Amino acid sequence: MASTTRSSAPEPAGNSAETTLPWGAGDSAPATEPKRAHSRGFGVGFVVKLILMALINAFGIYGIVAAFGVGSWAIAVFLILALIAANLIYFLPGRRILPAKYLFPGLIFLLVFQVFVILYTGYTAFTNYGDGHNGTKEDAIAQLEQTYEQRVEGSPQYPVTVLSSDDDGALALATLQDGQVLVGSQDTALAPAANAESSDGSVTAVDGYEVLDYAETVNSPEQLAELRVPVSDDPADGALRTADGSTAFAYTPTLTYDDGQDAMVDADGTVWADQGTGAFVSPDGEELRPGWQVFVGFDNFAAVFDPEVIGGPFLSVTLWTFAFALISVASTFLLGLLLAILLNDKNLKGRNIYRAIIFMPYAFPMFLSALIWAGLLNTDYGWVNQVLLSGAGVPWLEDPWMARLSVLLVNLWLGFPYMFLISTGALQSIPEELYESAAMDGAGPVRRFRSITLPMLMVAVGPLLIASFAMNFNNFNVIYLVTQGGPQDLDSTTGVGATDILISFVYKIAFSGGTNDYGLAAALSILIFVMVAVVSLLTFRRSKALEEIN
Amino acid sequence: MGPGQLRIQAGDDEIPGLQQIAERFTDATGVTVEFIQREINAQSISDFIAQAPMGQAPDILISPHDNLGQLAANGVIASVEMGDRGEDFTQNALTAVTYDGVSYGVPYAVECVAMVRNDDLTQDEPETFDDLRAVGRRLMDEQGLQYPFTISQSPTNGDPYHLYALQTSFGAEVFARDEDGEYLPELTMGGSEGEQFANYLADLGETGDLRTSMTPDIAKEAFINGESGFHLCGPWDLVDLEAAEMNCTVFPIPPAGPEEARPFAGVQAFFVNANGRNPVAAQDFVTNWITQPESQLALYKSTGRPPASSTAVEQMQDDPWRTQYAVIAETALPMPAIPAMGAVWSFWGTAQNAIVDGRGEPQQLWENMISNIEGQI
Amino acid sequence: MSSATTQPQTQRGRKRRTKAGRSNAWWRHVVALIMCVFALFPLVYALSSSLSEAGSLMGSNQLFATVTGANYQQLFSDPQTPFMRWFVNSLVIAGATALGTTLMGAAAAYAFSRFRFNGRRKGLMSLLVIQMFPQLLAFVAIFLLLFAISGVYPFLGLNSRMGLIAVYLGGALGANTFLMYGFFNTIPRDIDEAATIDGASHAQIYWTMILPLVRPILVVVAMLSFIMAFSDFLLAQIVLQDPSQYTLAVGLYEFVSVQFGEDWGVFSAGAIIAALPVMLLFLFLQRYIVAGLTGGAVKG
Repeated sequence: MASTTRSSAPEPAGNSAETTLPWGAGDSAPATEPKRAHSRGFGVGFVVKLILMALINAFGIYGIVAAFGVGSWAIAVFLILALIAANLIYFLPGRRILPAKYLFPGLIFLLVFQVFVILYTGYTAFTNYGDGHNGTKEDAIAQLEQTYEQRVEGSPQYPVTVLSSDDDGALALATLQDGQVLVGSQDTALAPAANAESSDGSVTAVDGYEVLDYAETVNSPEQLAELRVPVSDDPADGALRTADGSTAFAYTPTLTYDDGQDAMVDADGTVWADQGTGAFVSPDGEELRPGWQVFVGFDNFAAVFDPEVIGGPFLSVTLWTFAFALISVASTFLLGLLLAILLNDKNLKGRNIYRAIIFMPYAFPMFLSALIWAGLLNTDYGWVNQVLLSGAGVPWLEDPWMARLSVLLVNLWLGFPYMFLISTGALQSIPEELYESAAMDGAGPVRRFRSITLPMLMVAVGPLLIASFAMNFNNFNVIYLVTQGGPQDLDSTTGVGATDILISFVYKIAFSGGTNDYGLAAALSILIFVMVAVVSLLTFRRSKALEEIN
Repeated sequence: MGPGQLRIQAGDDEIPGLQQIAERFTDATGVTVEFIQREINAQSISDFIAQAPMGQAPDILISPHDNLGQLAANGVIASVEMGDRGEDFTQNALTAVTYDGVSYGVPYAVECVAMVRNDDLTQDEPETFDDLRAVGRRLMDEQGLQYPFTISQSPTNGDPYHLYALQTSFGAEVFARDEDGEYLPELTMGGSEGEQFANYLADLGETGDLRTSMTPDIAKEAFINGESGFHLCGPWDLVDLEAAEMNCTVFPIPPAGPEEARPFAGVQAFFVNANGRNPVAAQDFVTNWITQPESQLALYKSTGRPPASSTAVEQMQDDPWRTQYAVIAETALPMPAIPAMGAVWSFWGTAQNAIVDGRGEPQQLWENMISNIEGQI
Repeated sequence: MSSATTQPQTQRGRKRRTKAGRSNAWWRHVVALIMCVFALFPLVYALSSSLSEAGSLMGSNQLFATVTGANYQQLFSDPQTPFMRWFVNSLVIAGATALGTTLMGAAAAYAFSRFRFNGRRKGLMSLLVIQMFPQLLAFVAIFLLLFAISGVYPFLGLNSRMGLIAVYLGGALGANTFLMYGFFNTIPRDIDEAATIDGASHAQIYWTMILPLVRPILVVVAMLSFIMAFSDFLLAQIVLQDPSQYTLAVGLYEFVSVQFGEDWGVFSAGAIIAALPVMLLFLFLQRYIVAGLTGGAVKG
């Protein structure tokens, strides 16, 4: 790597006093070298490309075949489209397609793993997905029928053996009662079997049946789950069901699914009907759990207009979220930049060590450091109050404003090494000659910083600051690990706290009310997203932050 | 075709004990057992619920019973009928794994909080919580201790769990219960009982006996360092007390009010995935193997949690502390597993903290909390 | 650090800077030391906790009251927690992620910086906007996605390290692209134009001229994505289910994710060891970061 740099890096402009750009227009040094590389490297590059494309096509075609094989139509279609796109992009000539060659690999991953999350969230926002509405209606019916069987009162526990009929392979159960082998199947009640053997209290052979061994038993879970062997001809005695293949109990059904009414019918005659809400509902409005997933239209979005949510805390939480994100970016960047400039002085002894130490907070698992900070800020026992402030009882995390200050402080600690690192990297792109010529012109350190360092630096890190704002806007982890959004507003039923940002507020509304409501969470996060995106785009459009200065 | 495999999601400390049981199980049945090491928290429960309908979740899940309501409401766990095999279990353990009248799991441990006394500092056995505070205060004067007693709290969330025994001693249980002992989503913390408790909390805070800033780490370490004579904690702290070779006695929490001080009981239980890949073997494993006292003891040895089987409790030799915990757990109140409980925790804790820290009039704060929770349910 | 150069201007500059450096040195050291204390003191707690017997994190302000290596020993000896294996998994996953992110991010940044095409600005905006999307439901979506992929490419699906790497690469065009985009913009286009006139192809300009010039930022991005992948446990926990596949972050998180049963001592010990490769990487790569454009040219 070092040698390529040397061979292709241009000589610094000898005299750059005449230009404000870092590189003089008279830069001609690199022109000769790529030419050499060009004549030598064309063939190699093309061969590499061919091999890569061959691998990609093999990978894609394999995937398409496999996806059709397992019936994953969506994946198959996606792969076909992606593969066609890849071949077109990399084999078609023309300058128009050039950017796509560079963007395609990253975009594919972005599409699959990030855009999918967004689409999925969008889909979920229109469903009732969440606790109690987890799967399909079929699953819910099966689960309800299975779960709400009542064990017949006073009935014994039956040790059973699972049999399979020689005729049709249907399962049956055999049990031993007073030395007599009883056999029964789905339609026939338990009855003494004519030719049967038993030993040690368990049935070993029955005429007309095969005794299933353990492996065979556990390998027929579906049939076993459906098997109900009537104890007698009286339905009140119940039917045997075994869950483990060795012990059975007599149950009477309490909830059964009625196809005609599309409802669950209770033993006492109550009808739980499907009214389109994703659950069976009784006449008096009670719902059976589990229910299933259905589309609910804009219901989740309507929840925003709950006066408890939008009325009180929403505005203050929004303001705080913007403040948190802006101050976090500004503070981490300023501190990081300051240190980067400070340690960018070649004459400072030990600067490599300083750099490594200052970088350390970033090398540590954030999860641990955030919790340590919460401990350090403990009112009675924390190091900050106890040692640093010699026993002052500053309520760092209990007072609303102090808590806000605290999360900003912790976020500063967590984030400044990152800004320090990128500022250090960005400072390297500013040629020293600029400073030297500026110094010759008599510019002081402050002016040099303002007229050279800052503008040059902003070209490099400006776009990143925007990205950093976006990240902090949804910085759930810091809030959650340090204060959990608290101190809580004791008068609000939403449980909102002083340090809650929008995303942690959504989390509280959708997940902490006893049940996880993913549909609501999705709808609320989409609304947040729209709000942030619009505000940000408007701001950035005006700020021209994404335009380079060249 | 072989009998296949069982995938069991368990915690770090449960796996060594489970491995012994699994070995015997595999020898007898041929089913191999694979462990998925994952501690239980809100995220791992959500993951299980999301993954179960796709048939991707483990066959067996070990979880504290307070997640039962959520698991059952999602239909991701199967009912488990222990039948005669459940006779060995304490009533609390059986009630805890029952939800909406259906039994769902096989318990292996029952945990609750109790009072641990440092016998080197005092031999007093206080009858009431006020006596205990008085003894603690005396020890502070006489022996220069730091605290009358230590208890785990949280400055951000409060800790109603550790304080619950004091609350029930005033008769203010969190939810109403039906005749079978199952919880109903009907808040019963209010009324004069609740207000008395709120006043008591305010007093605890005013005197500095109770501090919301005392996190679990600080409380435990202070007790180990001999800074307090009494420590209100669960059996999970015992390992460290043993490591410090402390000389202690475990006894029930003395009541602060007129009634018995009953803490929450948390039951660790095995649940069977309703859409698991090997449901029959899973049912066999939990109902026929985990119910054995031998298995319960193996899990006790690897986790240090008092077992749920009475036979196993009797066989816990040379462990007076955990035996005492098991006895106390019998009269403890199972932690509610109903979804409404989720709405209670955060309001409950923050209101208690506000009262202890003196950030308002105690009864007013308590009433506020009640109406906020009712607003959410 | 740098060899001598014969350019008189540079020498004059150096002399001036040396003088300034001397007179300013003391306050720079003071500020640097203060910042080092600020950066370090919370971590000293982690170190103290990793060496203590009690297994607590913030039990007392008395640091290093007891010093024992028991937690470290437990970390490496417990068969339940194949720590070394996790370590290797983490290095492999984070290394591959860093490489892939840097390559794809740099390519995208190059396209945005150097080509003028329809939708360029919109593309940049979209990348930015996508990052603002709250990932509250990612844990369900990613699982569903990998479950579907498992059926087609088993080696890329659930419980595979490759699958996790692919998930991480989904973020390659994130903040990193903006970082590199900004950096690419500081390199004058005259360089490419001159090379194009000389007949160099876009690929040659990219690989042999531009990339070497932006080496410091490539190293920075590689480090950042390495750290991201190394410390993530949320996504890793969804993808990896078998303890032998775990990364360090997932494995360590398990130590403290159980209520009241947190093993902070072992967790801290693990975190300290986990921080080591990142630190070493930084120490090693530092010279590539700071030996930037001018350094590369002036130095021999």
